[in-house]
Amino acid sequence: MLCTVDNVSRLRYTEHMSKFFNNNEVDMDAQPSTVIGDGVKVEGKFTGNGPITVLGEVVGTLSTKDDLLVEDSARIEADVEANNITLAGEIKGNVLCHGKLHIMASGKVFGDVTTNILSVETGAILKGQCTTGADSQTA
Amino acid sequence: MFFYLYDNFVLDKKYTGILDHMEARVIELGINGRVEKLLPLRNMKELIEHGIKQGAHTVVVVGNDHTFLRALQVVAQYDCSMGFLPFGETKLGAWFGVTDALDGCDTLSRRITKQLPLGKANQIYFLITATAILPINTQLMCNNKWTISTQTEAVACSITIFDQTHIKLFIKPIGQTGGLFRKAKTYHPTELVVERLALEHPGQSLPVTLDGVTVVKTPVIITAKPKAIKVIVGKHRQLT
Repeated sequence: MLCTVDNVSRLRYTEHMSKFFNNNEVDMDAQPSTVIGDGVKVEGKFTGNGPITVLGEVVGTLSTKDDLLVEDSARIEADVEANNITLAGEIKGNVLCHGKLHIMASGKVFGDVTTNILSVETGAILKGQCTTGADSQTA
Repeated sequence: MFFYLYDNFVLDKKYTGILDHMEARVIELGINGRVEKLLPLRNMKELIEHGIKQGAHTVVVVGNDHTFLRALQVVAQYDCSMGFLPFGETKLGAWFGVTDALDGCDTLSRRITKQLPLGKANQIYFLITATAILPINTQLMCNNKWTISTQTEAVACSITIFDQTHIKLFIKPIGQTGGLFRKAKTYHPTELVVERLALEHPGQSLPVTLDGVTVVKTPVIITAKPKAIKVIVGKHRQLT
C-alpha cells in the first residue's frame, strides 16, 4: 500500500508539471517552479509567479499567479491565492482560486473558499463558506 | 592587450617545463601581452588595477582555482574579460572547457567569450555555487518578505546563480529519522528562486563555502550581481 501512495503522489506531481512540457519541448518563457519541501517551515508573505508545490509548512500568506499543489504532508496556516489548486494536505485559512479547486480525499480546508470551479472527492473536509461560479471572483 | 597574472606557485621548478611551453605557444599564437608575477610582497588588486589602467582588455590568470577566484574579486568591478590558464588540479578549468595551460592558450586565441552571471556573498563574488550544512533552526530570510526555518537535524543548502537578478536556493534534509524497525523517511528537497537571501543562525556562526574554495561565516547576505563577467571559454565547456 505504501508503494501505491508513493505512485499516486508521483503521478499527481507529474500531472502538475506536465503542462510545462509540450511534445518534449521546454517552454523557455515558463516561470521557475517552486517547491517547499518537507522538513522546512516558511513564515511570512510568500509570493511566486510560477507553479508552487508545498510539502512542508507555510504560515502567513501564500499566493501565486500560477498553479498550486498542496501535498499530503503539507500544513498551511495562511490565506491562499492561486490559479488552479490541487489540495491533498491541510489549509487553515481563506482560499481564493481563480480556476479550479480540486480537493482530494485526504484534503482539508478550514476557512472560506472562493473559486470558479470546485471539485471535492469523497472523504475530503471543507469547513467554511463556499462561493463558486464565474462571478465569484468579483464578489 | 592581454594581461597575464602568474601565481607564485607556477614559478616552482615543477612547472618550469609547462610554463616554457605555454609561453612559447602564447607568442606563436600572437596573444602575448604584459606579464606580472604574484610575488609575496606584491598586491594582486594593485597589479590588476594598474594593468587595466594601462589598457588591458583581458586579464588571464595563470594559476589554480584559488588564484582565479581571487582575481575575479578585482576584475568583476571593471568592464574587462577574463581568461584562465590552469596549473595543477582545477574544477573551474573543466567548467570553462580548459583542461590545462597549453590547451588554454588555444582557447584564448579562439576568443569565445561567454557572459557569466555572478553571485555575491557579503562582499565576495562567486561563480558557480555557495554551499553550507545548516543545523536545525537556521533562519533563511528571502527577499526580506518570508523566512525559511529548517525543521530537521541538518540540511544541505546549495545556492546557484539563476540569472543576473535571481539566485536559486536548494535545500535537502540530510538527517535520518528511521530506526531499527522503522523505514527512514525520505524528504523532498526545497527549491526556490529568490532575489536576496540572508542566512543566519541564532546560536552559532556557520561556514558557507563559495565555489568550493572560499569560506565565509554567517550572517551572510547572498544576491546576484547585476552585471555579468565575460570569460573566454573552450569548446568543451560544461557551462551552458
